[in-house]
Amino acid sequence: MNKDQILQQLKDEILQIKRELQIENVGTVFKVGDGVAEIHGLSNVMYSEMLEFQTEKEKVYGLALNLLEDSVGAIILGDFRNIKEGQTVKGTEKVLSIPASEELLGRVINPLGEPLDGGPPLHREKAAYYPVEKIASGVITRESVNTPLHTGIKAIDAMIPIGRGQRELIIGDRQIGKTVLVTDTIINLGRDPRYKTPVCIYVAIGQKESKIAKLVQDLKRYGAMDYTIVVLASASSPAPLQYLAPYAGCAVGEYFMDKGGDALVIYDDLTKHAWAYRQISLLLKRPPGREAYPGDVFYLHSRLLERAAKMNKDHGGGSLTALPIIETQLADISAYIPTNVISITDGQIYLEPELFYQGVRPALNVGLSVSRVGSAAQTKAMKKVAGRLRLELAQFRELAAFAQFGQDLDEATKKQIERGKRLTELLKQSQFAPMPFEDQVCSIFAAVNGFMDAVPVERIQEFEKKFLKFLHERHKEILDKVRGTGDLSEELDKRLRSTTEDFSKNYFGKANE
Amino acid sequence: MKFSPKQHAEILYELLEGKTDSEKKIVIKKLVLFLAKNKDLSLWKQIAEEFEKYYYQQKGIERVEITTADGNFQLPTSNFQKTFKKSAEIVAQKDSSLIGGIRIKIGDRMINNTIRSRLEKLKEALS
Repeated sequence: MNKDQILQQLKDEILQIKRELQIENVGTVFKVGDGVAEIHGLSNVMYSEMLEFQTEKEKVYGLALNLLEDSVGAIILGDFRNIKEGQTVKGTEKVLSIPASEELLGRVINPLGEPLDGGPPLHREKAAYYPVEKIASGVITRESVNTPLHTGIKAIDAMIPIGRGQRELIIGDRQIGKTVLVTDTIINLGRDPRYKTPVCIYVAIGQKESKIAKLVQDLKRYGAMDYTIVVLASASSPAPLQYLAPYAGCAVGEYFMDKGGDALVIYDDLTKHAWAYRQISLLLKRPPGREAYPGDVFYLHSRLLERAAKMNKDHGGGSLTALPIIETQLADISAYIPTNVISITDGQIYLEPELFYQGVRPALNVGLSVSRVGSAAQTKAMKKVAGRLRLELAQFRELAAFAQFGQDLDEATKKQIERGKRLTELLKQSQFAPMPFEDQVCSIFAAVNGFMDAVPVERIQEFEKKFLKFLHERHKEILDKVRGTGDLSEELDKRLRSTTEDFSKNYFGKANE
Repeated sequence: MKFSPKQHAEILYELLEGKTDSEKKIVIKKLVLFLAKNKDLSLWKQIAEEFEKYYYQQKGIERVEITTADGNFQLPTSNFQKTFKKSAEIVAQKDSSLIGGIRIKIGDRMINNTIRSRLEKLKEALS
């Protein structure tokens, strides 16, 4: 292509640009500060419409949130220091949307869809624009949760199973492993050969940028960034961006869901999201309520989490799973925001500081954690072994309290306590070590069937490791069958039982003698 | 009791209606004293804005701002009256950053046909 051709093409393209005169809806900035602005004029503006502030340096976008009789309250989605009183504000007649496409995979973006990772620019013209605020899909388009979302964490997959399309809350104090839990889940989802890997969207709200940099590094190291998108509104981002981040992440997830795929959105964390919203609301002079949160803080989270869905076949069959995270203060789960989100979600995973310091990691409190819909999605094989695990652990918890007082315990009680100790030990799992579902089934099978009773508690992890190695090397067909059928048939149960017996007697036992 | 700038503006308009110039001065002085007493002097700017809006509204006048690069554009008021069946106060403004063309603002609506806005659109289309 020579110079003239390029120029001609450029000329043609320019001629195609429509130059129709449009009547624009404008207003003037009356007051500005702390990320919010009061605007006079803009009489035809819509709720949640994008606004364009014409500053001296660049265009800054805003969002109309308060429509009052003679003014408009807007949040500013950019550098508000360039906005001055008297500047013109233009309505765009568009509600805020985010450009979503496959190009976003592996990228770190801000809630407006602009890349933050220094990578190549994104091609907006190829992207589909998804509205950030959207009413969740209706009943007719949905179906109940029926596909598991394997986290790779034994305690969760066995006792608090999560299904695709579910909303499961992760709640706990700071520094207790909430983010570790979701990172492991993202890593494991890429390794699950039985089910499609969902697109994972990690929404960081008010987090330290160093923490996100580390998280992205970790995900890259385990090859998980290929199917992950990070939406970042860090602690240094203005509150309006932090407020928008989860909705933007959800909109990107909906793009993949509408294409018939699966998506997982992690909101880390909604406590900071509520803080950001509280800040905006107070600045917009909305009346404060309990803990100074505005009256619609429940709706803030319910409308977000309601967008998680499992669509039926007629509507593409896609799913959007939501894993919101809530950080509690001093393990108080009865505070305002935690109770709100607990009541919205389909269950919660409660992480307890006491367990964490005892070395039980993940520090999951099995008693307080529940999953209200996930069991429908659990595989049959897991259901068979996990039912007993849950029962044994419940009995252990009850007896363990007694055992602290008296020494004279009968044989059965002692046995129960010993079993419980071993099960607790078995459920410990280190970071970056998610376990495939068939391994989990076999390992829990060995424990609940008493094959670990003779093993000292401190050697349980070693037993498990060697047992799984033994299965992988010599009886791979058992693992393949469990994975392939998702069931533990009677015949398979027999084979697994004899194999486990063989291992504990002839291999693990022999090696110890 | 606190009054909003809008209420102040409306009352001021009612009070000034039909008054002579010397009477108007007294009314305005009294308003200033009233604002000072209520510690509302900081509202004067908003009151002035609201008063202007209310004044135009009551008189059925549209304020038309015409901005050009050289500020020399003249539009006879009668032309506006003929087209829109409304009287207008036309304010000509100068903004050399527009480069060329014309920008007309009537209330909340704006017609922007300047070279600068076209260049911006071109820039957007190319990026």
